[in-house]
Amino acid sequence: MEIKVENLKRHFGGTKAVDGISFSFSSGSIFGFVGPNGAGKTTTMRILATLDEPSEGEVTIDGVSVVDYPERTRKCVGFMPDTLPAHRDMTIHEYLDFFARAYGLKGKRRDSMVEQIEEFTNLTKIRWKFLKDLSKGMKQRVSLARSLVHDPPVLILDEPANGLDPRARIELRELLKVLAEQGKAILISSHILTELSEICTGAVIVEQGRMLKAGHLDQIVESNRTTRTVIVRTDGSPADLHKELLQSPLVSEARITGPGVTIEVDGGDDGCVELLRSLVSRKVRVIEFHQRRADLEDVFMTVTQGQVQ
Amino acid sequence: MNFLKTIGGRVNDHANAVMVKELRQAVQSRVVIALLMLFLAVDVLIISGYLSLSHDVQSSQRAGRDLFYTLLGFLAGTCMFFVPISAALRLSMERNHSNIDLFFITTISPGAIIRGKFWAALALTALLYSACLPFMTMTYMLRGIELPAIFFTLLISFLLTSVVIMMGLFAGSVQAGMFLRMVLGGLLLQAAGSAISMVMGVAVSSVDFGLSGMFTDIESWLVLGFFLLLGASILALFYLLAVAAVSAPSSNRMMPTRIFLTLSWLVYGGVSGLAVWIQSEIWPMMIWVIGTIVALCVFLPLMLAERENWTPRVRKSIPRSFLPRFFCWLFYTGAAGGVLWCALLFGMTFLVGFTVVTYAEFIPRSGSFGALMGDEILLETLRGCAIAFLYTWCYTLSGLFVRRMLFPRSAPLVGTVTAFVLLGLMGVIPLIAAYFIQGTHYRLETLPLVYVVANPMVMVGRLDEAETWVQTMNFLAVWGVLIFLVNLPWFRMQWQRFTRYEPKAVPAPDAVPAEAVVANG
Repeated sequence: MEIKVENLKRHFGGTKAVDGISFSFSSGSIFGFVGPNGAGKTTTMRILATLDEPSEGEVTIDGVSVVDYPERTRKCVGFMPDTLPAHRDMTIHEYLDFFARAYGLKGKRRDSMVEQIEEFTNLTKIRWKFLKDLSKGMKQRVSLARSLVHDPPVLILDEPANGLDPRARIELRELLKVLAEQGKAILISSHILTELSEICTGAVIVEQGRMLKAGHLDQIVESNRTTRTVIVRTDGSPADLHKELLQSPLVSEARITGPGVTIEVDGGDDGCVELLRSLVSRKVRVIEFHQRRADLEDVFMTVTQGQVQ
Repeated sequence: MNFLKTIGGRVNDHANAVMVKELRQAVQSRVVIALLMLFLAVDVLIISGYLSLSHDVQSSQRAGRDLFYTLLGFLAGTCMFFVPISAALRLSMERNHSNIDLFFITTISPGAIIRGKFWAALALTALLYSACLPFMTMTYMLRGIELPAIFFTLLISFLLTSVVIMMGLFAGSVQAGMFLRMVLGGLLLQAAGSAISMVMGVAVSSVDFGLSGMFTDIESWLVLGFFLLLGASILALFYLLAVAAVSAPSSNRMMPTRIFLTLSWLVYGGVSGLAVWIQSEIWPMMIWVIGTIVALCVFLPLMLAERENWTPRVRKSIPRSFLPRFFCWLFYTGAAGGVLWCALLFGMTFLVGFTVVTYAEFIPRSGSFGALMGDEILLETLRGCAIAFLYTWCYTLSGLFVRRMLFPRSAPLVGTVTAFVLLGLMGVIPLIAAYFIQGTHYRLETLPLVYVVANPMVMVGRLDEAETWVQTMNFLAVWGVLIFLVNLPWFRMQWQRFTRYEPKAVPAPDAVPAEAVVANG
């Protein structure tokens, strides 16, 4: 199943909430949707979930337009918004049972589906608790369960880790990995970029409604790197090593960090190989020489400017 | 036992999901329990207070009916205000743009959502009625009231409550700003107030005159049938409007409403014609004419708020040939088609009414229709309706023109709002100007026509003068034609856009040359 967003635009009067975003993702992948507040993430997700209509552009799921066929889209999309279930006078089980009914599940299939989802999201023991009595983390869990209740092949999760404690975050991460392994296509927005880096296969970075980067996570990270960050340590003093390294034409920047020196090396992987070879040939006793991997956070900080509209 | 379980399971499966949710919430909610308890307590208080404070309970021939009116007023007030308003508020909160309830993105149909809400509200109403019924029947013991009258009044009251509930659901289903919500809320309160007055009127008629006295001839049954049909039509209309409001914006959501209104127009027209034929009375025809024009005057400005573009989803169902395409244009969601639909319906209503009055003698069995020939009241009604529609037409299209010229990129709703603003400005500014020009001689009744002709509210009182009527008609006719002509490009543009969607042909993948296949083995 492939989800394609093509030149998506959503304007509210003069404000361009979404301005020409295009990306695609498919079954079995977790796609991160990253951007500062007001970047247009929620608007895009609402359009994907048929809650809003684009001013221009197209969103298709396996070639079927989300705008033209919202009823068909709803069968295959599970949406978890950034707001929590607000029904005060319903228990978790009643809430999930209602949504199962609303998605047309009947009889034993409905009962077993609701039970499975409660078990999967670890809600079985508290299924008769009222929604109003739940903590924020528990409500997030119920919200996720609700989006899964009709077993949709596409999941759209808007800030699912927001407000969760570390344990709940780890559990959510594991749940998402399991869901991706089950073949679901997942689009997830989050401000916690280190977590996204760990679970996402791809990402799209947006700011002020415009798309800055999109693609496979490694591609994005690589495309953003002009130098390699390398940490070097010898058995000598860091100050001497610092001087030594700055003499190399391959090193564009060097700074002492604790017992070692962190440098920026030009020339990609070949440059790193060349630098290490020259250090060894100059009898420098290298104990540590490793590249620090750039992550989504680095890319995000580089490409975005922190502007809001 | 298993059989019962199976039946129970099937009923459970087929029950409306929204209704089940609403009823579960109502059972869990303390508000409903508290309301019910309070309701019972007040009923007990009313009865015990009346019995203990009234000195002539045992001898009075009116004790039963007086107590019944009090209880009925309390019941009708609670059901017509509390239930529809609470249903409207709940739906309105769920339709909140910033936090829409997620069942609107499930596969449940918009119709099922509204029906579920309606049945749940009706169940709550039935609960209140059942709580009140023992007290109501007790009034029978106090003399002065018949049991059939009690049940008849309660039935009418219940039916009217169901209509007001549906109106409430429509008010709650519209996604609008605070101002429009307040307007809708005000209209809902007004409707509830009118419904209570009607219930009390029915109660007085049926209790004071007795049911047996009310339904002695065919005409009274016809009147009852007519009003029941009218109530059912209003309920169906608001149901369709509410369904349209919760449907996906890309869908053809106004088509069912327009088809329903057209069918209602035909059915009511037919029934009123038949009633005129049988009874030789003009009122059925007048109700049809006035009802149609009032509905059109309400719908015409609202039509401007509809969409001016169609999604491929709707366009795929547009026929290619001219005539079917034109019919679809009139009935499909869309502003220009809607405006023309209103104009056509008005034209036909006027034509039928005018034909009946003018040429009744040529209609077979003219003895019946003949009674209408040259009827002054019907002619005046037609004249008043024509003026009302023409004012609506002129202001609506003027609002559209201003929007097109000044705010070309704004939402279609701006045209409707502009029309109302223009009505206010053009109605009031000339009056203010006249006040400053005429000074102490200023009198609204004698102001020259030029100052008041754009103000329909003032003109209503002056239309009995034949000369004024002709001048007003001429003014509106010229304005109406001119404003239509200047908006003609808008109509033409929408007609041109209203074409069948033809997906762009996807180029076929390059065929692999046969020799390449051979060469590759």
